[in-house]
Amino acid sequence: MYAREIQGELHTFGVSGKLIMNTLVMYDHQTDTLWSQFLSRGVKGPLADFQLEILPVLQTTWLQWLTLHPNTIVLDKKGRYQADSYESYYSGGSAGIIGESNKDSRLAGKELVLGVDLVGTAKAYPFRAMAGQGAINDTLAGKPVLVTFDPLNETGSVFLRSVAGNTLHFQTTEKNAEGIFLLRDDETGSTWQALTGRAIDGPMVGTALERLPSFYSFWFAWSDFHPDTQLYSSQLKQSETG
Amino acid sequence: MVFVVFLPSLRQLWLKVGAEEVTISDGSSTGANSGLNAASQTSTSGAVGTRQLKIIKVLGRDGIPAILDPEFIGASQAFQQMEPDERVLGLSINGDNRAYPLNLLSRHEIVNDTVGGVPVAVTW
Repeated sequence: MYAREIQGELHTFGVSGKLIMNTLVMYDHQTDTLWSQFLSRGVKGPLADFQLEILPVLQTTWLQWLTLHPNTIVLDKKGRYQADSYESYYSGGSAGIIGESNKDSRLAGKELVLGVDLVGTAKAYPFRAMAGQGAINDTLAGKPVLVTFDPLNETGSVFLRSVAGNTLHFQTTEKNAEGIFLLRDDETGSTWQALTGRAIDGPMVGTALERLPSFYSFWFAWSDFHPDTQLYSSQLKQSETG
Repeated sequence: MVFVVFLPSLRQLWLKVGAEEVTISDGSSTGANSGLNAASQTSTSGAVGTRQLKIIKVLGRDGIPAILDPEFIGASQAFQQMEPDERVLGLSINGDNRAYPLNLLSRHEIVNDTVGGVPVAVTW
């Protein structure tokens, strides 16, 4: 998700029909610049060196989204689009149209990861490794981050786990209201929604953690674009959690 | 994000014909609002601070039509056309919460929208 206002001007985007390492290349109707979705920047044309502002999103199930945001509106499918045209692609062995350009064998190519890129430091959190964790207190590029993962809905979120300069540490709780996955922080004992980062009970109620951009991605695509990526492993003790 | 796989068998020839290469700089962004949110570009080849990218052409421009005038419905109406476990991208800006079904995004790739007063491109 990107802001369409660039240098004070509104832009609209279309599909260029081109790909970079199997991922979408957009163009904008105003300047004809080509934009890489995965790199979040211009790659050719007048705005080629321009970085798009990323607006973090949550990829989850319709029911989970509705539970978290009861007043949501929904893009109208008008009775169409009952099936995903990529379904066979998701489950098949093929890794995009041209295959991987930088095959990184640390994981299987089609393994799903949540990818985070924080000021030039990339890290991938495999769904399988996150499944037993719930809340991962990590440090990336010197910043304290919280990675949450709900295996039932295969939904992950990444937040900055500091509020007003104070770093918080999160743990999963037994408390679970209406199917909403909750966390508690050690420092204040407040209760938080794991997927929205909002404190719903305790001293921090009403506070929201800053959501960081994350990419729900196949490993082959993430490691193609980020050859130096770190890889989270639940077997390793997470050091320097600050 | 991921792209079509049901291409004709001649695709290898087609891809070679349509390929071009660009060099991008790894320099700092020129306008993003926050360094924290800026994605990085890792230097992998070529001159220090640059990166070579191969762009291939697989379809004509707008061969997949982006959405420029999205229409929305409320949650109760959405229940009639959505499965509970159907996946969505959810965007929440300034109290404006919107869900974009992936089944639809797969056919359009880009939705040009305005959420909570912020003009956005929802991409897949």
